[in-house]
Amino acid sequence: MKKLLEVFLGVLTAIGGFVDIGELVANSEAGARYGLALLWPVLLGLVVILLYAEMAGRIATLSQRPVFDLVRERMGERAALLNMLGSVAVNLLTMTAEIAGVALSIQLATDVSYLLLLPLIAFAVWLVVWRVKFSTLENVVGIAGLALFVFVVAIWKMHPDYHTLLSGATHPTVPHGEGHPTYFYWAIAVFGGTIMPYELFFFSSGAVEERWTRRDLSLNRVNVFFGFPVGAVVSIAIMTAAALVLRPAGISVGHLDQAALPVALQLGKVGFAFVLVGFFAALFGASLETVLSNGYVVSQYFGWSWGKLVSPRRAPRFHVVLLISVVAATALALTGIDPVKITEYSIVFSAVVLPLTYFPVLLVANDPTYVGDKTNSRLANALAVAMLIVVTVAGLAAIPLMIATKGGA
Amino acid sequence: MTAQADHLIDAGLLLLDRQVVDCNERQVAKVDDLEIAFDADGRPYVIAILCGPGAYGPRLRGRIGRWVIAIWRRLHPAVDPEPARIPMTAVTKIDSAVHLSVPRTATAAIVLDRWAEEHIVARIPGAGKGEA
Repeated sequence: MKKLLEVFLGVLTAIGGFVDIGELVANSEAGARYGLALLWPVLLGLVVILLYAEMAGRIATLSQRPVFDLVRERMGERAALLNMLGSVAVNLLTMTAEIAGVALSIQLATDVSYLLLLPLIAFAVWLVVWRVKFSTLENVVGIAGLALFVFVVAIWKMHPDYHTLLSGATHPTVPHGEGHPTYFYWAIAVFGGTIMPYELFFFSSGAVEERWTRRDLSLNRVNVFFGFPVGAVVSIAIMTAAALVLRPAGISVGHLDQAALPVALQLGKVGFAFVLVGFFAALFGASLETVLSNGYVVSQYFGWSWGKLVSPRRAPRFHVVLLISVVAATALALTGIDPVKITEYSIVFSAVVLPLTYFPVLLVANDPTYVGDKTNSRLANALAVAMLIVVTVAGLAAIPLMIATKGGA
Repeated sequence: MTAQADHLIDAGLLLLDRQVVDCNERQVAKVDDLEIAFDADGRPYVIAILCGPGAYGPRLRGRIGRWVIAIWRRLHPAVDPEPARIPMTAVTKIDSAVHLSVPRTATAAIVLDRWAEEHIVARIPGAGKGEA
């Protein structure tokens, strides 16, 4: 029974953890602008994260080595240093956007300026990573994040023509007056929003710290192969809602409240309340995960002791990194920089740094010294190599497209 | 077959950049560099694991590497500092990590951890218990 509860909670957390500021911004914007013509990058991203999260979870379970141990060990100190700095930079941008997003969702409910709320929220985030028993909170936040299913309810209530929606998704076309480069820039943004690097760091480090054993391998599979796709349903619902409501009205998404608009229009105050709870929970959870990921990445690169389950004095340098990260992200957010723009940059740069992380994971998932007899199947390898090529192409194209399209304008 | 042949490994592949963990599976450091000696037949063997900025800097090479070394030398209390050293006699097993027979507190690799603990982390309320 206890086991069943654990599986259930794991899946719920995976669902709630899947959606964060990246999806809220990129999917709403893409839906408002292109309808469902950018659904395919969500699905592609889902396949990528399924494959690589399963591998990272399996490696962590069988060898107790989290992702950045593998990066350092397979790429050597120089290339891994570059990856570490890149990942930390992307993480910081993501963290800034998530913390600002939490503040914005409270602003929507209370009308208190988010800039005033930011220091409080940053302190709460730090306090949780410093002291609070983490697994409890992880579950609470994960379950509260399920409130975002209200997007699915809203779409169902709209009684849309599912046939048109489906054909829009399966026959993607670039609308008149929109250039192809902009379309592909947004494709990369949606793709990057689905596979942000911190997700892998957080997932594998958690598996190491909770001391998963061979028996937990099935738990790993269930969490990944069930939790993530259900999370993707929410992600797709956000895009669809924007496509159904914002696109016909000609509204483009420049603020977080516009992402909530479709639900508010369809379901009224109750729906809006659900959206706000969902935004708050998903973004607060993601803030914690991005902060911790920075600690994981730096500590694992240098070999320092790390962990959220040991007391701060037993992982002092890890906690120094967490503290600096929270302060830096808050300072950046307090400049009043547009959270939506920050999100766009962080998801596009996600695609740039990811290949350097995925490649070592793929190598080690085939190394018996780490995973024993549980090396990748041929099918998994073929898919993983194909997806690595996709991620690399997206990563190489991201910055040129960003410059050429002036950030998707 | 000599005695060493049983311990023949590709040090570059299996040792360098691996995680070092102590007898309680707690993280100690990375294998930043290796100290090599030669036996009577002139064959090289590893006698110690070197870690910390003093070992990491030289391997990084280039300007950043020189900076790491310069900062480390400047801040280190010793006049002519040596990198932290873990003798191979303390190593019990090498697999996905390098396992030690001693607790992390018994190694020289955690000096900077101690510094961060004493000067920063322990001063914040609720830092919990430290290590013995």
